[in-house]
Amino acid sequence: MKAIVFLIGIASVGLSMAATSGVTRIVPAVVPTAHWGSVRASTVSIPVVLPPGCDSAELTIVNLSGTTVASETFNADAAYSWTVFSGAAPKEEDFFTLTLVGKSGSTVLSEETATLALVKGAFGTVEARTDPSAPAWRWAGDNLVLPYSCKWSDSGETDLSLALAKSGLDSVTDELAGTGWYGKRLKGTEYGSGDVSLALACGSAECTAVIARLMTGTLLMFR
Amino acid sequence: MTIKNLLCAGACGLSLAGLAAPTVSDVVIQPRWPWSTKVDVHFVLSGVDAPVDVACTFRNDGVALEQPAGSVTGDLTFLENGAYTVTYDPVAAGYGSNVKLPALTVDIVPVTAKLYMIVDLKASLANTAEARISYTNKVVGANSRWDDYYKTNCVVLRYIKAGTFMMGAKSTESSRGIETSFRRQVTLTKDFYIGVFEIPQGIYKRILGSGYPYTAGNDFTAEQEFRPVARVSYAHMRNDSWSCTNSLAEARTVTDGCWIGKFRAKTGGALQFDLPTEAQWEYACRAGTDTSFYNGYDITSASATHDGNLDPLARYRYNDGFKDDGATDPLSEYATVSTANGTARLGTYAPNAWGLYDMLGNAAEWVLDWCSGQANTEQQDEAIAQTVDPRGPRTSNDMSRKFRTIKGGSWYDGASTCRCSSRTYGKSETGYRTEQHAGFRLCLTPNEY
Repeated sequence: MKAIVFLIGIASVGLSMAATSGVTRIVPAVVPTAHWGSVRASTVSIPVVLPPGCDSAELTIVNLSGTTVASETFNADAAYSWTVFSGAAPKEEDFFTLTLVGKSGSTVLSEETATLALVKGAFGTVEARTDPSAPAWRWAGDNLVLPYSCKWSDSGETDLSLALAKSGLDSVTDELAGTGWYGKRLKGTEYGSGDVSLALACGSAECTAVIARLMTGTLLMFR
Repeated sequence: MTIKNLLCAGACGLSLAGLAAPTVSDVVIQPRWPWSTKVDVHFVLSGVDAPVDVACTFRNDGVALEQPAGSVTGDLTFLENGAYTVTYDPVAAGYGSNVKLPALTVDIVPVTAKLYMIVDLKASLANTAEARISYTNKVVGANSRWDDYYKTNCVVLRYIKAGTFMMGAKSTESSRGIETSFRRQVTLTKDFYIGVFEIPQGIYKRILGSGYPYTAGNDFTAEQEFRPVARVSYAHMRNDSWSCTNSLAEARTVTDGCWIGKFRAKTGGALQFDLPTEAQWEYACRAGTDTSFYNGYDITSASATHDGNLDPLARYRYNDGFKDDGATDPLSEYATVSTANGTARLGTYAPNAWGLYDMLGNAAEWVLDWCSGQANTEQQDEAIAQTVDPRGPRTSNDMSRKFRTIKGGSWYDGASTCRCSSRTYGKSETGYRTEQHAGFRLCLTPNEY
């Protein structure tokens, strides 16, 4: 793979958009792009615009394991440079939630969130699995970062849902839209090991899958 | 890299986009696991000043993978600046179970788009040599226009992407005819090429060699090199072998001795040039519009006479097409050497948004479909029911006269006949003089063959 650019921006993480739509729009590249918000460089430039009426804004970035990986307070518009990972490629895929809280003094006036995926496919080779019936198809890593797109079906729908089900747990359904990434922490959570059933529905079209994560150290051999 | 440098890089990149060579960047390769075995590749294209295609080479651990037709799909052709996605299906490529692709990569390279196909006949018309076929992604010729060389020595076709459109006249359209009944959403699933111009008389004559229909009483003149063939019968031009079964195989059948048969031979025989279907013709004519004319305007007159909205687009009866000089045979207007009346030179009027000339007026144009009638008929119902790749009814509404559909109106017609949706018909098997206003343009649907 080649031609990785060195600039990624997250635009409009501020009240200028929220004032009209209430929805944060993420543009993860300098070149206008319509596709998925994903990290494509080790350093991400995040333009921060103070929301109207606010004299400060707090940006926090949390990864899938719940760790706050960045936290900054801004008293003026700024371009925040965030180092996502070190080295040429990330060691693990991740999924970040960015939250921008606008304040006037100590009063919170606004809060917006955005998401950004970190996938290995932006930095080198990927593994393509050609046989869904093969055992290896099922295995997931510590983090689950899944692509989704209504464009995969011909339904013409744009709203979709992703349901996770595991024996002994209540099924959870997340409403999604269009095309993007879905992130879920497996390691150290109730989904940590064993089968997890996934159902991605877009209109009448549905994709299903069963994945599982192998717990470290559970494979024992006796001689 | 500092923030300042980052911002400068972005600004400079954008400002120089028009001058730079086409560049692929921001490549993200993403298997659809666990939903599918397919692999999506997202990328951004910049520096494009004329449409480009992209060539994708998938590799596993550096070794190129098989990429048979259909295994790579998505945004591959006629791309401008923006973000795109292509999809590789390793299973469709033959990599099924027990095949591991642990180190998949892709190279994406911009290549010249095959937006226009140029069939250059100049060197081959006088002998048995094959025509030379080339491609370009923009209009070529003097002053970046298709000049006389291309009009008189070449058949230029433009690539049309498949899509969905509303076929037939809107119910609010003045002077609409029976085509209102055919108003429906139609989807064309296959890309195709269609002629930028109607076939001119000069090329028609030289391809045919003998049996040229205009020599009877009308000597061929140099002026006719530039004007469309406009009184050719369907049978004379492509045979009439598309019989009642309406099968694709029969639809492709033309006789070797007819004009299209000889044109195919001239181009090597592999490319099955033919007439467009009515749906292909109207889709190409509209070029994204849904109005009476392809310039975005509706007809304003309820009569079949003059309409100012059509004047910039077409040679038609009330735009110097017909000169009522008392002659009993209107062909006298057609045969005149002067371009003041009758048909106009190719490309005299404004093209549509896709660069196609004379879709309205000038010569009316034969299409493949049987005529489904001007009244409620079984054939009409059959045609209306077709919404995906329509090919018309299986039979003509009048098989005794073998009516075929004619589109676009002619120099002899009023404005109401020269609308995108209007349709007339002609006897396909009679002599060339009968359908005195009909010519044609060529079409090629590559993936159909």
